[in-house]
Amino acid sequence: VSRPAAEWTAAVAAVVITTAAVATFEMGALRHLLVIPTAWCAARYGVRGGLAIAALAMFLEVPCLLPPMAMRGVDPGIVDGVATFSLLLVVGGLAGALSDRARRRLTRYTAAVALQQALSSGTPLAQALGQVSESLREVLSADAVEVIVRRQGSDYIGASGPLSLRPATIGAEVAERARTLFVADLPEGRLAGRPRRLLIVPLRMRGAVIGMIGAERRGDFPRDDRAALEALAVVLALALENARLGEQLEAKVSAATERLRELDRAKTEFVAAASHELRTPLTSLCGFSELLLARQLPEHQRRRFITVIHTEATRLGRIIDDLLDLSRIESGRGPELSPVSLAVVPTLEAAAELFRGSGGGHRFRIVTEADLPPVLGDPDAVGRILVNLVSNAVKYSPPGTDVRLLAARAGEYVDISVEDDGIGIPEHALGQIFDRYYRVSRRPGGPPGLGLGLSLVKSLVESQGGSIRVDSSGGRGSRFTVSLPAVHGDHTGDDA
Amino acid sequence: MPRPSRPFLSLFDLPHDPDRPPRPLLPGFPLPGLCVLAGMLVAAMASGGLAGVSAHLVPVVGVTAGHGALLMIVFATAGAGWRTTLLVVGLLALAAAVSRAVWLGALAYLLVPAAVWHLARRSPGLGAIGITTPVPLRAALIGFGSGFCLGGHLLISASRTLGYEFSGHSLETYFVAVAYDVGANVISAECFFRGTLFDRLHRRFPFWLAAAVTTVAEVVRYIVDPLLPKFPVAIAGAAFYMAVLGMASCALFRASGSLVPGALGRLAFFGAYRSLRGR
Repeated sequence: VSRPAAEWTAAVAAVVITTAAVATFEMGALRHLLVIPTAWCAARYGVRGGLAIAALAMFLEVPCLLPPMAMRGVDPGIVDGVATFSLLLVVGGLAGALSDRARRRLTRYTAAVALQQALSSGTPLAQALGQVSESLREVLSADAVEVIVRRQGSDYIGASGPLSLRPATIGAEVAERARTLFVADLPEGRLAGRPRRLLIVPLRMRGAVIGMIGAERRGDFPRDDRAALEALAVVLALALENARLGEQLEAKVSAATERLRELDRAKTEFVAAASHELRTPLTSLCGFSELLLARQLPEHQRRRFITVIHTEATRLGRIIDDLLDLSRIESGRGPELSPVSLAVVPTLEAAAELFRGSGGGHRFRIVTEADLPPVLGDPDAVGRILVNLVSNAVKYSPPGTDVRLLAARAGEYVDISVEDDGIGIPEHALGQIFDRYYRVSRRPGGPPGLGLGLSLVKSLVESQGGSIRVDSSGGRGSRFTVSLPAVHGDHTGDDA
Repeated sequence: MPRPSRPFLSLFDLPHDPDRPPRPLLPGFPLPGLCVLAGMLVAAMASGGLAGVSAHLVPVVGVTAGHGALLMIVFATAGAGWRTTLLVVGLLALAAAVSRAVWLGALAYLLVPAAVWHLARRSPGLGAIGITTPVPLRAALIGFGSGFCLGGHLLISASRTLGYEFSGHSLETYFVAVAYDVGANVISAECFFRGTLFDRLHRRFPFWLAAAVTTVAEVVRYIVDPLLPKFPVAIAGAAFYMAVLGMASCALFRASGSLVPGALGRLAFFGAYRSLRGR
């Protein structure tokens, strides 16, 4: 025999025995004992238990109570009997209500914990929402519970998949007003004697609707249960927000970790490349200077060696300048600049001149607009910008091809472009081309470099109030365009 | 393959019109029809002075007007149409008249539930009040059992206290009374108090409130019934039993969605009640 069955049997037996004793011994005071099984059933089974036992007691007592009433009318004994049964009903109802309330609170607390666990367990969102819905359905004894979470606009996701809310629907109404909606009687799918009640509670976070809970019951949906669902909605909204923030944090940490790993790898490669880049001119410097010291060479050969030493020393100096600039930029100080009004054409010609006769056989063409205004820039910085860009054009285009240096006015700016017909830049690399240490190709035997040039160019351009962009597609050349502020008025004042 | 954007019908997808005005509790209340029935009753009572008329006419018109009024409201609110309403009221009047003439004529009362059931199958509005809903066996047994227990309780209480005694009726009298319960009393009470009044109140209010209001209305209807003896203990007894029976019927209707379990309980109870006779 199950425990509830035994308890009910004992309570009913107690009521029957007490009623029989009252009738047999005509002791109305014994009726007060009925409060014991009534309170017991109320505590164990809530309002229904308490009222059922009180009603049973009253039901059994009516045949005993009515005869004296029929014979003598309403006397103190009848009043006592009626008062006793009224008391039983009150005790059964109140004690049952308190017991029900305590039980509901415990269930809701358990449900709140279950919600948080479901959403923090790492299960996919749709699956977690299914668990949450089932948990809420049990807590509320509802016929159906659905939980949906906003993805974007009117697009939501629920346990059964994506859902897009249409206008003039219950969901759209709640999403728009951000308020709980209770529908006491849904005409759709109504059953006789059991109205279809619906409660939709928005999940709000910082004033915005991030989702909704919908609960359906065929029959009553007491105010207490509605308040409980609203309270659980707050818990659920917090849990969802926590889960979302956790996911975001995880994604950010993962991205940052990956970025650090990438930087670490790039720095390692940079150190290797820098060592190689420094060693190459040093080797030349050492080799040719030893030759000069050790041998008596003809004048023309001595001069050629000294020229090589000078070129390599210059190259070494440029690398060191780049490194110093990089260091300065990384420490947040930026390059030291003294902007002046700078004529564009001589600057372009100077840059092209540096590479003429460099051995690649490239043809340098300078095309500029007539009456081009000067730009506001640091002569050394603008020179380094152009040298870097032209150097790249020479490095990544076949010998004998054209390298074009173009200049044109563009509103308040002057656009200076360096174009080549080289291998171009793959599309996927365009977004990273100006990142420090980034090199499109790291294959051994490829063009030398540290991956600093374009990064420095960008810093130098932006430090002077300009901008840089690149247009390229793999295999069809590339064009770097630097926009520098134009100088109006006297074009010749500070021209360098 | 892209996923369908609407793979399931959701609660959130149900249509909603916040500006829709609330529907009246009893839409299409048949006031003119009720006035006609009341007029017939008054006319029948006014003809009481005519020798040989009132003894037969008043009870027939009384049964027709009383139960016909309840069924008329049921049919009107369910949108079943005037012709069907007139048909059922006419059958009620016919059964009341025939049963008074010949006791076997009480069988005509069975035409009323048969007609109501048939009409309910053809009219969705009428069927939706719980007449044609499939009856769960458990609910039917509970309904009958509760009526049976209450009837037994009535027999004990009444024989001890209410000035009644068990049996003593002729079979013919008992048969006519039970046929009246089947064809008029129970069906009109269940269709009106449960299928219409309780159902519509419960759409707006909690169960306990809807059931209490329905039960009070039903208790009042039985207390004012001219067939009920008018002395205090009988009235108290009627109020007690009708209250218990009314609440039980509401609970059964809510649980099963069918009027049949409550009707069975009521029939069992009235079966016991009809076996009592005043001392």
